[in-house]
Amino acid sequence: MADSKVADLTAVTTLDGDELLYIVDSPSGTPADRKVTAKVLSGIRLIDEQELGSSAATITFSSIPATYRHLRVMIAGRQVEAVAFDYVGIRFNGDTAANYNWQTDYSSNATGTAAPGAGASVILAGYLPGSSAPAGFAGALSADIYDYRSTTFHKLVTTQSASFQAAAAAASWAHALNGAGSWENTAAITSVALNAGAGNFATGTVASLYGLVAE
Amino acid sequence: MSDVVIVNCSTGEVEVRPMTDAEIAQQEADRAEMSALIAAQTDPIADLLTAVDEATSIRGIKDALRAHLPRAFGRQ
Repeated sequence: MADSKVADLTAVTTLDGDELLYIVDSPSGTPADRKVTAKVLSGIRLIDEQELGSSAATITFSSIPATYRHLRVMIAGRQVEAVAFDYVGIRFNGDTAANYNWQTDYSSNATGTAAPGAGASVILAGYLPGSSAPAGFAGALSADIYDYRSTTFHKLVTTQSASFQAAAAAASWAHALNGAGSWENTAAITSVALNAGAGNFATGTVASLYGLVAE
Repeated sequence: MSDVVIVNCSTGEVEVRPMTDAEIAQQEADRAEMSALIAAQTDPIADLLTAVDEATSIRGIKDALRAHLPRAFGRQ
């Protein structure tokens, strides 16, 4: 490589993880020139995301590369249809059979409720507000999918969601949810589908898929 | 007509298309299943108190306790 100014180099806007960066090791001790691979600099990397320009019933992340250890899905937004709130479902690899189980603990105002779903065809991952919620109100949901590329165990998910759907402190003004889910299948997960229980995710809803680095 | 959005994480391509009849049927089946599961989830303590309140005899109270206490204590 010819000598050149850093400012004159071509910029790389996304990292594959195997790029080399120059560092000075132990700068306050015995400084030494060293290299480091980019993947050790970040434990979580955006795989893809979608901000809806129009409403959609499902958002599916397909052809997920098997290069991470765990996956994290995050959704910020709300749903269409005239309900205060409704569920969001998660399904893997297009499996619509009764191979899913879920357990949730959710609270609204001062009431807490535990709810199981055994032998279901989709995992209840949380709640997002519907169009009966006041304008601007929204919800958030995250789901961690563990060791998604493994072919040894059934796949496990932990979820959290927050849905604000009515005036502060009104009855059922908000739902906070912690949940767990399983997919009774040892196959590696290659696609994750997010289903809007109320019918559609609203315009402006953002769904992101992250990968947690394996090493 | 609702759309589905499919993001190909390997190529970055995004497909937006209307739901197929099979997908619409699956969505309706999902909603029916989830509604049934959620409807089955009521507050076990509230159920216990309601059953006791509605009992009109000692025997009725015993039956209410026998029916609802296990779930109220998380045994079912």
